[in-house]
Amino acid sequence: MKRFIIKRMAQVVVVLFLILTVLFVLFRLAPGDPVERMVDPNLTLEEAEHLVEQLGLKEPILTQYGIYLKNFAMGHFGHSFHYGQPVAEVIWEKLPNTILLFTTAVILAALVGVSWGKIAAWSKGKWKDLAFTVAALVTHTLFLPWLALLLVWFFGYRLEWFPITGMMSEEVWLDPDTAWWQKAWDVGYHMMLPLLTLFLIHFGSYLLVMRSSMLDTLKEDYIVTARAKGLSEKAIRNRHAAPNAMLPVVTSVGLSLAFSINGGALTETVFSWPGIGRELVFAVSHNDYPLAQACFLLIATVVLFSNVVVDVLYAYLDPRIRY
Amino acid sequence: MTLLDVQNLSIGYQTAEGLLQAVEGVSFSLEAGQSLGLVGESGCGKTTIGMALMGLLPPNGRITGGHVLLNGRDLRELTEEEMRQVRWKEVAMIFQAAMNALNPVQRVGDQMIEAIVEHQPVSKAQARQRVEGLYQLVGMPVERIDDYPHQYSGGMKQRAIIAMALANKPKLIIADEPTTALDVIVQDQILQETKNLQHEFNIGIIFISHDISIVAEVCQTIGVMYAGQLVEIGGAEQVFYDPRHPYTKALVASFPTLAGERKELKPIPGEPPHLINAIMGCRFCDRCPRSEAQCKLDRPAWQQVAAGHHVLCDHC
Repeated sequence: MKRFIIKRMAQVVVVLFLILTVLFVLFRLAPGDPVERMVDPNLTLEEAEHLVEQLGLKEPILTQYGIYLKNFAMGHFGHSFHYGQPVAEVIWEKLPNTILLFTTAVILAALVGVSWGKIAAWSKGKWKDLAFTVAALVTHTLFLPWLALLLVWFFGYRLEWFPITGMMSEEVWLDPDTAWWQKAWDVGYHMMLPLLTLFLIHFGSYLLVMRSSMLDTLKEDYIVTARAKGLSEKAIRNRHAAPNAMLPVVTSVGLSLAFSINGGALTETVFSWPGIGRELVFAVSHNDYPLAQACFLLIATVVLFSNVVVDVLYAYLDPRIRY
Repeated sequence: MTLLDVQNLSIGYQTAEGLLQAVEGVSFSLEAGQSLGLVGESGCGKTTIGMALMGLLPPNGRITGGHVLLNGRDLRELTEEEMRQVRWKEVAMIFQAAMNALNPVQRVGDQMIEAIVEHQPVSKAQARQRVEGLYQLVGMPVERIDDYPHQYSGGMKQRAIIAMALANKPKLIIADEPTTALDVIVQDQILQETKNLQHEFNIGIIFISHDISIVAEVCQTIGVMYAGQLVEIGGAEQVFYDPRHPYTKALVASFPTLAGERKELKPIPGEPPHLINAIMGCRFCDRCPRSEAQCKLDRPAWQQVAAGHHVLCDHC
């Protein structure tokens, strides 16, 4: 197992290097002068000259490539044009917000999807199964921005139950007397609508995967054994059928987490949630190239690492899999 | 006392084409510590009987008539919860597909402990001790208790299933093709062990197989099934060496013997009847070399051909 993880990490490094190269080429293939793109147009000519020098944009292309790799290896992602801060700082500031929103949504969706999918398969053909399956299909096929806007309109505008933008209220956070749990409550309150959106979009696919996987598992011989042993229906379902049926759901959850950054972009934009997805959209539309470049690299890294995590988790859940 | 008394048992499956009468009017009984073999080709209803005895028919299957008395208690009259308590405590099963009968993501020992604590007022630690004893009993190394099923060979899995069947010291074990997936040598070892354990614990066994020679070796009584009916029943020697029903004769002739003369194996021509249609006369008459016009019309009656040897045929 240890060897497997080391091997996979080596693969991740190689793939990341390839992605870095592709990014380097893409940003230089884009039409126009790379200097114009890499250097903030708001700077004075002198400052710009200095920066061009610093970025090594006057060097031959291979030297530039070397400097580029070295900068990334050392964690220098350049300065964001818009924020004037180092890109790394911007990302560290926004990343936890995305993780908070997305991981919570995916975990909730997986818990609900798995337990309802289990029940749906168990009562196949009955009204419970029908209700769960229809609900899953409807929410799963909804167009996310439409759903998000609908929720904003209904819960935010008509009922005025939840705030519709941002992550926190200024008056709560600027007040020095606010306790930590009041702050947490405030964030949770703001998170309700984006969380609901992501939850609704995701739980359906987990439910459907779990249901069909569970139906396959129920045909297995060891389920007959469990029944013959005189176990209760609940024990058969939860101890014998569900752990085997869970395996495909793990892949599904892993993939959702892998695409959390770009997948969350729409939700974050609609709800002005200060996360990485929204930052990526912003960086691209405002020509903030250093920030965009770093965001793309982050997406690639997250996708690669999620895959490793899924593989390791699989071996943990299914003893037949050994690396 | 009679351990198991099956009276006139009929079982049907509800299919898209109608009710399929998979088992019809089967009667036999088994004394404690004795063994009865049910033989017949695929689809003759032998596994269906085994599943019905466990109360494990699939959702579209149901007992349509007759009685199953276990120690004098009619299993058909039990509620689902009462039946659940009977399973594995009084009647255990050794499965046809032992290769897949163990849950792949649970340790083998845990699966046995689970069978014990479900039915006995013991702690997990006590149950584990009993499992260790069972491993020794079936000749498996105790340190393999915490392995997963995929780490076992086919023979070990089969032994594990046998050990599991013995876990609650049941009075009756249904062994459905327990050795079919194993090679001949392992098969023989396991049959020997099963026989020994049966005598040691005085367990009644219903041994289901398509191989009449194996059944003749293990069981005291043989019941031959054809198309959902029992067609011949008697002592193992009687049925194997002196088969009377034309189907049993054909069945014996279709298996090779190791010691006897070299003769050509005779397959049985034709196919068994489709059980969705009601059958008036003898079910074997279309394939029977001795059939007469009357066989198609008259329902055959049981004939006693020797003490304890009965045949469902009017012409034997």
